[in-house]
Amino acid sequence: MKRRLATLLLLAAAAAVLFAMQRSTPRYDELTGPLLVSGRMGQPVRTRLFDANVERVQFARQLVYERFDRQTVRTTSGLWAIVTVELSARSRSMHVGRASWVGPQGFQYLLSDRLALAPGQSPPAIEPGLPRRARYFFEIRPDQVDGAVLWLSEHVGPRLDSEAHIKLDVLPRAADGALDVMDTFDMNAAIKEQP
Amino acid sequence: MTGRGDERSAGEKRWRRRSMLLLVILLPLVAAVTARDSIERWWNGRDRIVREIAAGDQVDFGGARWQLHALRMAPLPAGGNIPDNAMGVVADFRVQIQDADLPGNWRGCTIALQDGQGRRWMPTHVLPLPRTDASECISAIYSGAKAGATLRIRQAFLVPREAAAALRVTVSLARQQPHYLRFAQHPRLVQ
Repeated sequence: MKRRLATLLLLAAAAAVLFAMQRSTPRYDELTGPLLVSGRMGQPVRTRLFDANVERVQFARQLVYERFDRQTVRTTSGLWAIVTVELSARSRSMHVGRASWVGPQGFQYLLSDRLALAPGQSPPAIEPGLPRRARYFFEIRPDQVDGAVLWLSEHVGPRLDSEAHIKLDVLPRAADGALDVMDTFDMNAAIKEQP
Repeated sequence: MTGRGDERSAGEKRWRRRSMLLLVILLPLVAAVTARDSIERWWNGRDRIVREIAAGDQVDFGGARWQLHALRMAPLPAGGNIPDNAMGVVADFRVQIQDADLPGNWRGCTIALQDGQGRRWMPTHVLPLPRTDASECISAIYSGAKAGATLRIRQAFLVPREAAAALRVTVSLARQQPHYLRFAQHPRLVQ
């Protein structure tokens, strides 16, 4: 009787362990997901394929650009966030085609597709030994500014490859501590000054 | 009773040992058999075995005769999509077609520049080049060129000035991998 009880207990314990293992098994997506490389603004973040250094974050209420001799204004009910990054390829030419602004509550903003025809909006091509500046534009909610993180990678959802997560912790502030938001950001002028 | 029990447990122990041993052999074997195709594709789908081509030589590769006709470089002023300290390099090939199945033979055609540390520069489109009858390797696939025709293949690159003079051109085609070509010629400075 005692042995039977012990066997039953052992079986129950084994079932419990198996259940726990089944529940805690990481999904395939998680097992083969991106390998995170974290850093903060002003520091070079080294991933397998590229180095990234976020130099500056700016905010604007509207963007202005010229295309085919016509000026286009893009307004927003939120904020335009402009992130300037110095990028450099490590071993081969590549594009850093995927960038997202991830807010403090985990809201993820992809590059704005409202700027599809604006100048300089193709994914920045980078070459080994030739660092260059790139600007990424996001349309975000004003409450997603503090504690945000920039995610950068070569493709959407890298598999078993690195993804840079850079804390955006140096934001433009006015003397009273309020966020410094420009009225207008001129995209054409910005391209002329950036090599 | 006790004797039979001992005998049974000795048999069990023996089989448990054998099973464990088989597990150690069989598990890696099964993993190797199932992963063989992927490993083979990965190992052979890379530029691994180089064929060095002397300056001025012609070489048969992927159903065509390749010759690096000219490799020129010029410093570029920074601005727009051109970063500081950049050198433009243009590689010009004359390629005589022997087998007209270009979509098959030239699939995955990649012309690149390589330095001594293994860094690779892929073709760029940011250089303003004069219009000619030369085309890029991938677009030449659909040119409808017949056997015997000679194609002009031209690719442009953006590289750092200090590395430019030591770079070498490589050509790789998916069907020929792991073999690829590397031309001995270095870029010549033009103004």
